[in-house]
Amino acid sequence: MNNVLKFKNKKANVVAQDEIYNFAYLDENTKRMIRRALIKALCIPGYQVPFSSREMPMPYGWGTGGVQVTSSCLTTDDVLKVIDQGADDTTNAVSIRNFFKKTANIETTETTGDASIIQTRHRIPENQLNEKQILVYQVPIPEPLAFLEPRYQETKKMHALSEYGIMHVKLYEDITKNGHIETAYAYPVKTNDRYIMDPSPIPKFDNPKMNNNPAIQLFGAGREQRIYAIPPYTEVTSLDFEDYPFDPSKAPHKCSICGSNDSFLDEIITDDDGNRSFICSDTNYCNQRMKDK
Amino acid sequence: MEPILSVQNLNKYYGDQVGCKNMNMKLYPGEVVGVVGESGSGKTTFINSISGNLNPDRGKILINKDNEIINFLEISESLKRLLIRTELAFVHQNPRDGLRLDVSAGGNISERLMSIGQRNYGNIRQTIFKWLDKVEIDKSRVDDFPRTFSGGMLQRLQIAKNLVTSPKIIFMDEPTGGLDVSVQAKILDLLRKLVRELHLSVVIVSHDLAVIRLLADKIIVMKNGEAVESGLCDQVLDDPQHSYTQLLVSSVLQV
Amino acid sequence: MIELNNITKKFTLHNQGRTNISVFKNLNLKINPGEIVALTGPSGVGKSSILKMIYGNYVFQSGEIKINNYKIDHKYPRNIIELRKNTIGYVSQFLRVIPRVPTIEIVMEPLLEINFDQKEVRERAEKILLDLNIDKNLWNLSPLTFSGGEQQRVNVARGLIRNYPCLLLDEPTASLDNVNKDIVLNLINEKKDKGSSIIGIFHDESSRKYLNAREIDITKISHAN
Repeated sequence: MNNVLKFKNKKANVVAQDEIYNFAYLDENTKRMIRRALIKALCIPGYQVPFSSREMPMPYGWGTGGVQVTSSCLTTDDVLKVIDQGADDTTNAVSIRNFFKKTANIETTETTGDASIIQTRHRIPENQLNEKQILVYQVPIPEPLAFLEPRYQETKKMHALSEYGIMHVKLYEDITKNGHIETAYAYPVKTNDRYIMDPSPIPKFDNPKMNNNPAIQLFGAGREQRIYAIPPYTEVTSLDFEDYPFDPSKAPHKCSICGSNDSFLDEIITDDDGNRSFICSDTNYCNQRMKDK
Repeated sequence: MEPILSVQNLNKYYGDQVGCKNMNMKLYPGEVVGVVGESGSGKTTFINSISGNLNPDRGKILINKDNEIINFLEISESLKRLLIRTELAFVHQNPRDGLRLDVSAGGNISERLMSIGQRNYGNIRQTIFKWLDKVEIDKSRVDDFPRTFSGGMLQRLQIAKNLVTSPKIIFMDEPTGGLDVSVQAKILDLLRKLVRELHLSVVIVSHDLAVIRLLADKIIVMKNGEAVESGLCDQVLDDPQHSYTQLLVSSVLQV
Repeated sequence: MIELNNITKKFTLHNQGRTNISVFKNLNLKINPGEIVALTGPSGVGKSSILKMIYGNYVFQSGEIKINNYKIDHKYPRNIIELRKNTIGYVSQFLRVIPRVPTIEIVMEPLLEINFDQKEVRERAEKILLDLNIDKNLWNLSPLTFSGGEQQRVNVARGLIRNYPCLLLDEPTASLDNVNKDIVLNLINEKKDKGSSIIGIFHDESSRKYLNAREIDITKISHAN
């Protein structure tokens, strides 16, 4: 059931869409431009393709890049899911879902398996994605070298010539300071054994899910005007040292709602005495498990 | 013996302005060549042009890498940068230009190692300690940020950062320029030791004839972008033939 | 063997009205292995200039200088550097060293060019410093703070630690007391017995006699003046 998508012909319902806007808000020429960038990005996994980012009816940092990518990918048959930190019911997720409901009149869902496009901020769903799905990441800073090399010209050269020694300097500093690699999110990866890529601020727990994923993974950075991508079944490795291998660690607890042992957990302070509990960050995964029980 | 670096008829212009012109140089393994001249004589343009920092307009730069002659100005950008990371090193006058100030001392030294593919933290750490020892920086400072270092320590750190991958040719632009006299002496001593122990070949630019006399085997005297005299270092300083060199030598203050 | 054939040497002072100072014309000189030649003549006549030409510090306008049959040619500075490394030792009048470098390391340096065994080189440096009466307490200090006589002996130690086929000595005993002078002269004699060709400037006659040197008055062999 999970993998069967329910495609409906909704062309007949287009009138219900808000007619002030073109389908999915962006005009067709802009979408075409973005699709070209997306195709180029898919051809060169991990390479940052510049695109002409449009003003969107939301502030930068709220997912303007992701929304433009989603808008360019949407067809009338698509079923959209939007998550923010894994949750379907937070403000940002609800707003973006409503935005596309209004401008594209498409069907939306909270169920990972039912969605054909999933826009996400800072998480990859726990359930395995499939070949018919597209995962759209919202990216604040696409350049993984930016924190170490502030000159944009220089980072372009470093990518072009695979001069990536500096990335390990960051990990070296981590081990030196903390005894282990402290970077816990936006953990840099190498894509298709070529480009070093910022996976957006997902927890490093999610890094292994990017590797060999059957779904298309698209990354949009609106403010920085960059698009990059991982095609299906592409090798994605997290940087590490021989003697300090990559460790996708998670909090050593169970979800206090569904009891899951292997999902990424959010820490919740439950009262003024500082008592804490841990619950799944992926709300749909957690709810599903409860329903199955 | 073949020269490790050979510069032939090198020209660099800034528009109509001459940067340096008709420059020739042969640098042999283990040899130190000093480039002297007053400010604006083109010595920094020259060293930048032969080290990959500037693109000269005309001329040839040949680098002998394990008996293979590499035409430095004709090779691809990627090979050029690989050479710059592995075979060549550049020590800046201001160590802040050659260091990452928000990365620890050890991290600075590690960068070249990791850029040539070393991926074992323990080994990298060992190499860092070895080099701190060589440049006489206390091991306990390995995790400190360069901004907490004195000028002389910064320069020594820059030297370690550059030499860690055992480059063969070192370019130095006024390496003791911003340092006070007593620190300068320590750096000069260190450089001489390293040149001998590691059999380095060095091109060093300085306006300080005393520094050049102590370090260099050969010398090039520049004026208005051209070499007016060159040859054996102490011969040129003791028995200068060109009027400008005579002026330069006689202008040095005696202590 | 050191040979100077038909040497002409002059200085042109470009910044002082292009003044030409002629130093030597048709200068001929030969120093055989196992021989000590002492240059004499009033000061300013060019005694040090001869040493500097042989060492390559001074150029000359015509003629040839041969060291062990190798011609000095300033077009090839590389060869002069090699020659100095392997063939010519030079004890200059003044010590020229990097400040703050310990005496022992300064003395070791010429030997480290050819011998990479730090321990062995150190032992030899210690021996020659002992021979030259340099106090053990001074070995780890820079010689720049030493007395004139001590500095000179450090200079001698550095110049004589190796057995060069050719030795150039510029007033090696000038500021030494008699005891230390004899020590230095004996060291020089040792080098002669080992077959070095030695040319030097010794201001006092007693030194020249002690060394049994062949004296050459420059005013008699050069026609420049």
